[in-house]
Amino acid sequence: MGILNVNDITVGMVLAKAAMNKNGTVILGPGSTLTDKHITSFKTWGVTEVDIQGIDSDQLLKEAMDALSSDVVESIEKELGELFPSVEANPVMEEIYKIVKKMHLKQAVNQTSGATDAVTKDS
Amino acid sequence: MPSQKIHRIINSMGELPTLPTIYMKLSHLLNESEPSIKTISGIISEDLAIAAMVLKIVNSAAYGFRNKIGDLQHAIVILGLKEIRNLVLASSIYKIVKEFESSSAFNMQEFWKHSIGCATLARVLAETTHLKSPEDVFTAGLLHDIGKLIHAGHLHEEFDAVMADVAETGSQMSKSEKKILGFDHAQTGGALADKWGLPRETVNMITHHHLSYTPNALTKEMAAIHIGNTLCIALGLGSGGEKRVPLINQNAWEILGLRLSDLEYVMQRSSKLFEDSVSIMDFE
Repeated sequence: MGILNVNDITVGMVLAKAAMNKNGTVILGPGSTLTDKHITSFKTWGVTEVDIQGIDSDQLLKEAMDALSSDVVESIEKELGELFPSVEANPVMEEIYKIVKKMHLKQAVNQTSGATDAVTKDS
Repeated sequence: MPSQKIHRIINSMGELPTLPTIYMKLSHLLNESEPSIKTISGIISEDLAIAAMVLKIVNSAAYGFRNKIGDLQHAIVILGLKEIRNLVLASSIYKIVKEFESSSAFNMQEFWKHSIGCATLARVLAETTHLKSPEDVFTAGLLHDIGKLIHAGHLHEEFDAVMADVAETGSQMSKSEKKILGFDHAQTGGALADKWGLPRETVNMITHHHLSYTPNALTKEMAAIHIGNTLCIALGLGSGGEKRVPLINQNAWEILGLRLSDLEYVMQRSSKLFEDSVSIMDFE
């Protein structure tokens, strides 16, 4: 899956699926090559995420997570270790743990990239 | 624990929170075959705060209408009666919560958020597994921990002892309650819901939300509340005072029939909806 946040898309990317707002209204059809105008209108019409061809968002996330400092990862693991009981040999609980950990890591990635963006803008 | 004893305790407590009149009136209308929009609108208009919230919700980004909807009757058609009734309930729980003296160990604001979080997860679970009435599951989710409020408001010393025990041992709240009180907040909440005259199914969903054992009459709806509560604690959406994520009852997981591969979708979507609800209700 190549689902990207509208803030992360760039001109020239190609839609794998139709871009829709939260209400399910199609804003732009699949196969369209994105222009500046498209990206602006996504934001105006409340499209938050789009599916882009040839992008592996899991891969992107993994790379971003690998770039997180070990301190951040360790503190997330410590926090979740205290919150969760032993999930071994319990596939459902194990899956819940994995998803929550992924969501925490993703949030940490967003916070880091947000901070970098702010620094770039300031300079 | 005989339920008679809990009823006796409930009855001896004196002033208990009541369901708002507007909730009762809307419930009554739901039983009619074709309630008129005009009647519904008349009832909602009695509470200006609710009327304003209904309009705010239909005009939020989640509904994506281009033009502002300023007409209450139009808003009612869009949201539906059950949805509005749930909104009334969510905001009344908030009012009840605000009236309580908050003990230092128990954060009422977080408690209210936990109720919204559990209700949202349970509803998304109900929708994903095609249960017949996700709105009713949402209602039970809102009320699943209402027993904690009763304990906090009427059994001060015992409640503080329970909170201290949870902090010290890290055990589930219901276990500490059974040790100290002899019954838990799920039983108290169920008894209160019963006293309020809520449907038997709702009472059961509240009473059995921990599923520390599997009752004979386990339903998919009960499983949805139980799993929704666990996921809500795992996601940290508000807090009902638990220190650890409880384990999911295996029978509940099987009867609900959610695919493991759908879990991530359910959790992501619910988190988003939760943020939306909390910000729309403006109670922060």
